[in-house]
Amino acid sequence: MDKSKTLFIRLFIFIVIASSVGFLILSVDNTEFKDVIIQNYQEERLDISALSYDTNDVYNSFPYKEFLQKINHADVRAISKYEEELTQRAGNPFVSQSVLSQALTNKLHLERTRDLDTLNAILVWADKYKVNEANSSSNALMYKSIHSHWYNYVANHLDELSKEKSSIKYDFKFRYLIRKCNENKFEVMGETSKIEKVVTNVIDQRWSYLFYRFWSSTSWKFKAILFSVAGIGLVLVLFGFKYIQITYLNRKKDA
Amino acid sequence: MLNKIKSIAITVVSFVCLSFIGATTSYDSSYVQISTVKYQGSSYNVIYMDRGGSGKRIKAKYFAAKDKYSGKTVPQRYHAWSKNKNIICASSGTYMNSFDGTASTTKTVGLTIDNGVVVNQEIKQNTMDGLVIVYATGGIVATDLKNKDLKVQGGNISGIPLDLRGNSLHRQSFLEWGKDNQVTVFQTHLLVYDNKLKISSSNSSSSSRERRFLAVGNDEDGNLIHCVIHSAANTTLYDGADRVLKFLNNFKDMSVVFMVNLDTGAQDVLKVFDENGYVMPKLKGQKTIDESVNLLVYYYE
Repeated sequence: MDKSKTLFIRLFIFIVIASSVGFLILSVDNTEFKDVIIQNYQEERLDISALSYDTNDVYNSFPYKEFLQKINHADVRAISKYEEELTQRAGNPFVSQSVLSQALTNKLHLERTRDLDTLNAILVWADKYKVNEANSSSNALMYKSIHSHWYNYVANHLDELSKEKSSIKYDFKFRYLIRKCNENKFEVMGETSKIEKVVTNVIDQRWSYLFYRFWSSTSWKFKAILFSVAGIGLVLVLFGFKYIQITYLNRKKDA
Repeated sequence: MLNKIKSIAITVVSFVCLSFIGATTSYDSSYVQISTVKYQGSSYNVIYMDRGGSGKRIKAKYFAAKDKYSGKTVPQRYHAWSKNKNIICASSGTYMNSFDGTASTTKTVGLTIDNGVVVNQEIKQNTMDGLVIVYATGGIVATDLKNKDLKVQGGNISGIPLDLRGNSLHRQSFLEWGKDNQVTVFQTHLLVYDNKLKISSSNSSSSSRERRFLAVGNDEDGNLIHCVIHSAANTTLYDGADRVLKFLNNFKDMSVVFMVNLDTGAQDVLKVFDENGYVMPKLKGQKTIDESVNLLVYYYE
């Protein structure tokens, strides 16, 4: 291949790569998380005996809204104390744990936005309920259920966000949240765009598979357009070579 | 001359011996039928397994992820486990996580437990309504998560209808039960439940490609049938499921208890063995077992 051809190909590849990287850098959000307050905070511990409910049907008659308004959502020790008190009245630890788990999951309407700062704040709060060897207790199942509920909530939202905008996976905040979910065994799927799939297969050099997918999964219209574009591109490249060659030779002659 | 006779004799003896080895039966073909069937213009590769008739000698095993303790990948686990096993077929199972393209680190999508080890706790809320449980005994059951009526035996949740999506205490208790009972669980698209199609063209993928399904149901004599159906023609998920359900109902006289999707995307693995234990070369996926991320295996014991 002569010099002009190599130069032209190199220039073309450089422009494509530089513009793709430039676009990616400009579109990625690399800002840090903002502080978002999501949970209720109360100085004083609630006197749970003051709440009225049917001790024969605690799960359905419990005043969840009132309870949630009067407690500190992040005070795990207090929650444990409420569980003891509820068990004394209901006579069954499974019932009291079900009530508190329900209160701090489905009945707790946190700021339900899909903004990444809020999702991060939810995980920070949920981590207070994380059970490890140090704080493992008879309430472990209840704590785990609260912790996993909110991680599941965030993981599902991250999935939806990546489906809506596949490039979000390059954002710092998104990648951080994914990593946090993965560390806790919530494996977020994420969405890979068609172009990314093509690039991956090109890297893997799966030419026959690429051709097969292209041939079997695209419409005749798409195939016709692609072949036309490829044809025009080829003609332009050939004429480009010729033009550079002629200019180069003319310059040489002039010199 | 003597040498010539000797070498001919050795060749004949070797051939006879090899023929005997080759003829070793891997499974009873009266309970496993592998065929290619044309029905209403579509061609299907069918692995039809009469688990009930075989006295439950046909069993399923699912490899969901890399082994937590030994670090062995799914292909390594499969190769080690399958020695001395009479394998019928192995296929890719549920969808995989696409953030990392390498098979050794990629994990399954949706709630997954592998032999009592929790792989993925995320339960998909608005999609993939099928939860498949593979028991250590080789049996498979599936539930429609929308029905909130999964019941398991054993532990403190025995017999309680579980709402795994809506009640996180139920979900957590289920995970604990899964660990204690060393079950394998995965979540996938539920296509048919109680012999009724559960998806429509509006709520399923519109992309057209080859399809593979796992259907479990009963034949006209009430025998429990497990069936892997591969449709090489490109169809949408809805169209493919609809056609296969009609095929099973009308051609195979099978009432389908559940039918779930098996992934034929980036990890399209399919390997089928005939009754003599030979690989059937025409029935295969785009990728080899060594590239698998998760595997559903049927074997005869």
